[in-house]
Amino acid sequence: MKALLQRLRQLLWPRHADTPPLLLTQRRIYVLPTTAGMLYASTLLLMLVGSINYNLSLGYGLTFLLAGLGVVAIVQTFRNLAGLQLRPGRHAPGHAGETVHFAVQLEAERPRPALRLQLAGGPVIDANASDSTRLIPLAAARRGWQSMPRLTISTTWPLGLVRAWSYARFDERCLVYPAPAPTAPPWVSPGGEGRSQQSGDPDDFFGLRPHRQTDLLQHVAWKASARLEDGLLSKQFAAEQGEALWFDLTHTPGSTLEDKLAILTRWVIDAHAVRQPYGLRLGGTRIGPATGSDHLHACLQALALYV
Amino acid sequence: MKAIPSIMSTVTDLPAHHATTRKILAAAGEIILGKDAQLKQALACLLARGHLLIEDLPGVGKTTLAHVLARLLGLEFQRIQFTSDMLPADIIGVSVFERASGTFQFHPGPIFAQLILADEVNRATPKAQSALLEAMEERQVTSEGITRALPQPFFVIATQNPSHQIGTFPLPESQLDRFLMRIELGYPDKAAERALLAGVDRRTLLAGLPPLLQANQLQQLQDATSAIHASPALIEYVQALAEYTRHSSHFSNGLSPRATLGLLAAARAWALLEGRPHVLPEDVQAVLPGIVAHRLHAGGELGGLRGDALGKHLIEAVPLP
Amino acid sequence: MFKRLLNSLLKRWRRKPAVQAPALTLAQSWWLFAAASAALLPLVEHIPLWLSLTAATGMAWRAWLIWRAGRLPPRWLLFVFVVAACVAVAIQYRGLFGRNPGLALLVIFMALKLLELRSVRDGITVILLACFLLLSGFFFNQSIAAALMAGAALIVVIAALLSLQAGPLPTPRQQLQHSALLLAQALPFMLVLFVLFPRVQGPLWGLPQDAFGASSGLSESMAPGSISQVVQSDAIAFRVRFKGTPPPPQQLYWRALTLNDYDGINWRYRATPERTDLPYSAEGRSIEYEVTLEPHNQRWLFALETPGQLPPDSSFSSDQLILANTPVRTRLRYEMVSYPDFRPDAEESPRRLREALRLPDGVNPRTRAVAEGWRQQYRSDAEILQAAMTFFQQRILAYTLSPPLMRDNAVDAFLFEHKRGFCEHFASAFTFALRAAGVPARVVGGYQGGEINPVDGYFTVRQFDAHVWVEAWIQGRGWVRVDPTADSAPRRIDGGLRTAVTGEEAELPLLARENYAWLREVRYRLDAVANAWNQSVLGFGPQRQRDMLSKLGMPEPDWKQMTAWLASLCGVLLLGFTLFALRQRVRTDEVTRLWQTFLRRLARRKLDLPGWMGPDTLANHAAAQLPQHAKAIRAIAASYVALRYEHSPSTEQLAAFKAHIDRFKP
Repeated sequence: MKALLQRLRQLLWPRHADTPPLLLTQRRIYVLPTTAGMLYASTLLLMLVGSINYNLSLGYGLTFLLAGLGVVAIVQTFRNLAGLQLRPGRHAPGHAGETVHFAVQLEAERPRPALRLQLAGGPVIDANASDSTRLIPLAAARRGWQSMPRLTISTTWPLGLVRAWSYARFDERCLVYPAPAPTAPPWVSPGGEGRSQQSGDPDDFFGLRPHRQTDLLQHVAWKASARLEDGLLSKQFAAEQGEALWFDLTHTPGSTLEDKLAILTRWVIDAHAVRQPYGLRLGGTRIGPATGSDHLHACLQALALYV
Repeated sequence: MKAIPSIMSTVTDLPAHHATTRKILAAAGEIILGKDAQLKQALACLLARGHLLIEDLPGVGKTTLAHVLARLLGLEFQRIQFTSDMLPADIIGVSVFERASGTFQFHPGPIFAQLILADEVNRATPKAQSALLEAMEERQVTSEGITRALPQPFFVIATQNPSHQIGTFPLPESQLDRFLMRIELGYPDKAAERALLAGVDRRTLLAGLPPLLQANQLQQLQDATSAIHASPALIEYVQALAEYTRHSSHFSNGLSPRATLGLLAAARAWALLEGRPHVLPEDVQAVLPGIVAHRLHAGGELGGLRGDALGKHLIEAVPLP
Repeated sequence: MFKRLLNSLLKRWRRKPAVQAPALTLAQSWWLFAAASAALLPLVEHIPLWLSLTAATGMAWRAWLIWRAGRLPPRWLLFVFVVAACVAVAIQYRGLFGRNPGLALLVIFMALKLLELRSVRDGITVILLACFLLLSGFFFNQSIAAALMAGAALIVVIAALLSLQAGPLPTPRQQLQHSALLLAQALPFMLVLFVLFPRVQGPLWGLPQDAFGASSGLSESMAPGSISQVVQSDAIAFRVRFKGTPPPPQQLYWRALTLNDYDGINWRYRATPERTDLPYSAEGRSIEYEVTLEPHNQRWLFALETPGQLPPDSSFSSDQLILANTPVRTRLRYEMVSYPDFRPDAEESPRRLREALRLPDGVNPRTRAVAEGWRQQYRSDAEILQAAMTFFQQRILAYTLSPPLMRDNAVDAFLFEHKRGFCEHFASAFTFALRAAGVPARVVGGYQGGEINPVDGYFTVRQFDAHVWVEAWIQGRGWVRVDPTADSAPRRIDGGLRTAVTGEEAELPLLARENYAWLREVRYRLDAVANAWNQSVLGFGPQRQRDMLSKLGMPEPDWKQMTAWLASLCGVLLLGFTLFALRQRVRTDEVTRLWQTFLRRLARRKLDLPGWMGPDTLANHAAAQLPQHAKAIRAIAASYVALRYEHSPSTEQLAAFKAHIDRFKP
């Protein structure tokens, strides 16, 4: 008996993950009436009793037409899901305490309006199959890998009398970065490494060159230009090429590892915001100094996965 | 329909074109030992009118490769060594005020050549880099409001040291997209290295290399390349590949339409190098790793996968339509 | 402490439920408004004016609120309205229970529900109320027009239901089209259910008294002018289909009731003992026919003389009336056979004969004097009858639709002063005269004549065919039918009302006028359609269902069989519909299909050939694993490449490819 139940559960709620792309076939879709559908059915019952009682032939007709409509609603709602293809997309990482977004790509050969997507434990979002990719939010609690919970895709379209739904379990995970500390002490370089005093000022005068239309007016070297018969000269400045900061876990203030990681996260984010090249040292991991979003994500990933 | 006669004519020339390319590859292979695959890719890149990015350690023969190609294809060659103190004017050229005439005189920079070897581009500041990359895209340069066309044909072979070295400015993604292909040369295998050590100095060989192409023969080769037939089924396959990168969680970004166009152009070139008048999925698969290596970044599960491995993953993930 | 607890409890109680149904959008509000209007509009002519006005006010208020995006009225105000409306309904109908007050309450709830429409859930309530209201419209009218109107209203209602779903925002037109499409898909299910759902004869419980409104037609009493009221209507009383050739019009006396009691002004029906079988067995020439009676909320059934059988659930009274056991409230169909030449044995109880002589004292002295003169002059009742008929002929009485008002001594006034009257004057005067002369007589009410519809062969008897005549008791002959109107206006009997009345056409119902031939043609057609509708749709009850199913080859259909058939047919429909709805259009060209076949055949050999492989690569792999087929595999791959990737593959290549694959059986 127990084995039978187990088997049934296996059949109904398989444990194993679905391999993308997941085609919603007839066997995967469940259909049950909604509250509105129940109300509708009871109204039909009342109407039937009324028709019988008063021998209303057209009453029978109306009741049966509405009953037929109920059946049509079942099929149409089912049809709104059947044949839909789900494929995990590019998930959007987030910080702990915020939300990560799991992306699901919906594909169908005809429009599928009014779909609802929900990750177990997350909010419900509306979608339709013409959106190529939907991001489904999920609250992220802890840093590290957040595996994708069971996805419920449901619809009550077109009549709202019936709800059809299906589950998708993708073996996917999304990165949760550590929560950045709300405030962080400024980075103090330990010893030689860190920001050197003399460099990094992007406003250092670098030289003169002929003025171009795109140059800022305040960069025009008026005095130098006066010596020319025509044309202007522009001041040139050293491009932002300040020497990189090296953030190091061992020199980060904070009582616990998580505190330190939070502060490091804050530093990394702040450095990225001002386009300051930075590097990161986490125990054995070493990420060379650079700028750009790829670098940011690499650093945050290292922070998220550090143990 | 009117375009067909010209296409047919170039297609009939195919055996001749194929023979020419084989000659070029053979001659180049004489000098650059054990790198036939990379040579073929580089040639395909040039035939597809694309710029090439070579990323590898110093000393594996990047410069030689550029030299050899310039020689064999009969192209005017210029080498620009990128440094951190380089200014855009050092690349494009500069208008110098001449007191004698009382006017600005434009002195063209090294970019005014047919084949540019931009050595260690990631050493220069982003400003200098962007001057080069703009020239690559537009095939013309603008200085002091005057637009000057670059010579035809115009190729850039840029070399880049592996990033994360101190004092480098890795090219931003938007700039990388302007290179059709990125290849790695790698160390020569044992036999090749032995031949290299035992043989004559490469520079001497290089000096004696005769050009194999006439003045506008390269142009003809390129025209023949764009006339290679890509059937609807094949275009569908290219599309499926791009589509996959755009949605898959395994990549953190998708292929741009420019990359897709480049993929098709490179596949055409590869088909020409194979002597075939039409593109096969195999051609696409052959050039794909070089096309996507600098454009795609592994995300999620594949984290850490780089270069050719990424391309291989993509190929195996997308079934033929 | 307690206070704090109380406060927190109150707060919790006051707090809205955590899950709030989504609020309605502007478009949804308009749709629900439209649905409510569509459901209420057909009812306006059947409910009291004040109710319509109340509902209209509520609707207008709502429309204004939507328009101005105003705030909905507070709940307590609505509550006050509900109470006030209930009181008003209770006063109007003297109670809150029953069909009409129930409907009135529904109307009010609908109007007020619109005023508290907040969420989608409220929207559902409006939709369901609208369905109910559409159903109640059928209490009053089940004509084709009513059905079509209800259908149109239903499309709007379902469109409103559609609008409640968050989906793409279509135009109203698309929304209506979608609604109509869904309803069209529901039609097959409706048909199956309509035919096969086991019908039960209602009512399931005692119906409220007001279930059936006043029906036009004959009533149990006849006052001067009452019949002429009836003949103003061209509503259908009943339809008849004769099995053989219809008898001539002068024989078509559809007998319904007798009027025995006379108080000087009114003739009244008096119930007589009933039995469940006929006291005679008729013989001779027979007329077989089938009557489809419109509901008239009375017990009497119509038949020609002399009925030879009783319809089911009916009894036979001593007055030779056929009475249904319950008032006829739904359209009733019954088979009849009549024997026009047969007279049952002339036996009548003395009491009944005495009753047939009773007259009030002191009225109509002049007629009474004339009648008493006949009594003295003639010996037999038959002679008196003959004398009365002669007297009536000699008076030269005129048949008119607009007789003058005759209040006191109406018979005298008719016979001696005005000499103009309608059939009730004739019959009343004749009966009075006979009774005054000592001949038992009674007034008989029913319909005379009818009209054949050449379109479907049905005989239609309308309200303007209503007629009264006289029956006199002649010893040895029994009750004898006498029609004094026929003597004065013989054309009334031969050709119907239309021909009997001349120069008064303007007062006749439109359809009874003679010179509107084309109109009658149209009417015949409409009648035929309406009759078909009545017969096959409205009259589809348990009996009709059984007949139909037996005809379809279901001997002795019972509810079990019907349910089984119903279930299986619905199942088949559902399956077909599902397959139709879920069909996937996968269109692959021939080359791809053949290649797939090839790949399937290779897969059978369990080769490891992943889907990403190009054809050449795949052929190389396959050839390596199946060296004995290497040549065939390479040939197939080469043709496939040619067909799929080359510039202009030829048709011969396709044929070759096909041939290769046909031959390839690893």
